[in-house]
Amino acid sequence: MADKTIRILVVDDSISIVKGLVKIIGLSGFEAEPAYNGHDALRKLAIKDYDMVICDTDMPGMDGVDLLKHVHRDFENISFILMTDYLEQDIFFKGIQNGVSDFIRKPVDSDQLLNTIQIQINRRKDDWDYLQVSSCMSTADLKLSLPPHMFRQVDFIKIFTKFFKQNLNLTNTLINELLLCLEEMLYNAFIHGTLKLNLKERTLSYEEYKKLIQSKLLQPGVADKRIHLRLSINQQHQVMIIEVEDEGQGFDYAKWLEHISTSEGIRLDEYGRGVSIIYHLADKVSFGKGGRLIRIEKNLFDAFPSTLQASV
Amino acid sequence: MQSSLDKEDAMNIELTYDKKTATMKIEGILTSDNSYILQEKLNEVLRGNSTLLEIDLLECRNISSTGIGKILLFYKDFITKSGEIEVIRCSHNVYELFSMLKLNQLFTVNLG
Repeated sequence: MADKTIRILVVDDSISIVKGLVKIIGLSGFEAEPAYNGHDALRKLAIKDYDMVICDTDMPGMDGVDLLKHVHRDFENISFILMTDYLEQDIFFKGIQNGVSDFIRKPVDSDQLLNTIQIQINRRKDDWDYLQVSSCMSTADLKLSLPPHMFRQVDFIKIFTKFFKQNLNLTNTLINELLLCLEEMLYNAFIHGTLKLNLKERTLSYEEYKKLIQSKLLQPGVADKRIHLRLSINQQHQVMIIEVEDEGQGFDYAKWLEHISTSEGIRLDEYGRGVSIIYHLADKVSFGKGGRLIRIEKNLFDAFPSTLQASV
Repeated sequence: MQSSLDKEDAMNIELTYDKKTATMKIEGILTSDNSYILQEKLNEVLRGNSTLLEIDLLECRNISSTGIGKILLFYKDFITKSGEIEVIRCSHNVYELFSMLKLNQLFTVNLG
């Protein structure tokens, strides 16, 4: 981290401002590159790794807050600084809500700019140090008992993306695969094991589906249930074990495993694709407790060359 | 539960039309939770007069079994209207997933 050159993308529709800021930042030992609108910035972010984006709030088309939303959604490790010549309350709140790292007032003062950049670099170093220490973790065993109503409120994919990124030094491909397995396991435990939704109920229109889930979640026999998640990490042996157990009636997993291992084609009306995905992505899959418990093992060493990694 | 406590969708779908071709660009992570947005967009295509649906999945980093299910249900209805689907671009991860589920036997899936 200390030896890495910080790469900064400067975004503004004013060519002269961008050129001026790129020059100031470049002269201070950072690598700075220009972008002249939000779409130009997203194209550059998609093909090259940047540590920081410094962006004007007021741009035609995609404005600074819109770009911030995209960056915050798609590129989690990028610091984002908004430049504004008037700090309107609305922009301030929207910036905070969408994960802005800091604000700079326009016209930009070079000392203020470099100071703001340095604060972000220090924060990033703290995060990096945390990851370094976490990567020395030998074993961890996390057990959660999740109430079903949480599945309507919490985006587990986001939570575990953050957890994996903060605590484990994994490739993006591995994180993607772990997340996909986890999502399928939790979804099955929620929809089948806990809510017991049949195919017809699962294919209702969204509004009807939402109402159905809300009513089911109010039923005592459903609300009292828990979905048990266990994440067990052994970095020494480079393996993660994920277990998800619901309090439902289970299913005939042996039949599914046989079907998946012998299936040569896809049927359009087939369900059980979630199990197929897990079976494909995990290194080991096993079931227990009559199908209420699913357990996967995933090796944590690099599965693909870095050139093939998709970003999370 | 109150809508203000509901999850936000980390996914965006852009649907455009050019004559009889509909192009759907999916960005982000297509999860079990947000696949209803995909279903709504696919229903829109089905109601229209498009005969080709091009799906751009290059910026789609993950796709759950529910999302795949929505595409398959749409496919089943679309071919009865003589419609065709083509995945014009997709990431390596999504390509692998589609190949594993043998979706490339149903329609063309192009990588990258």
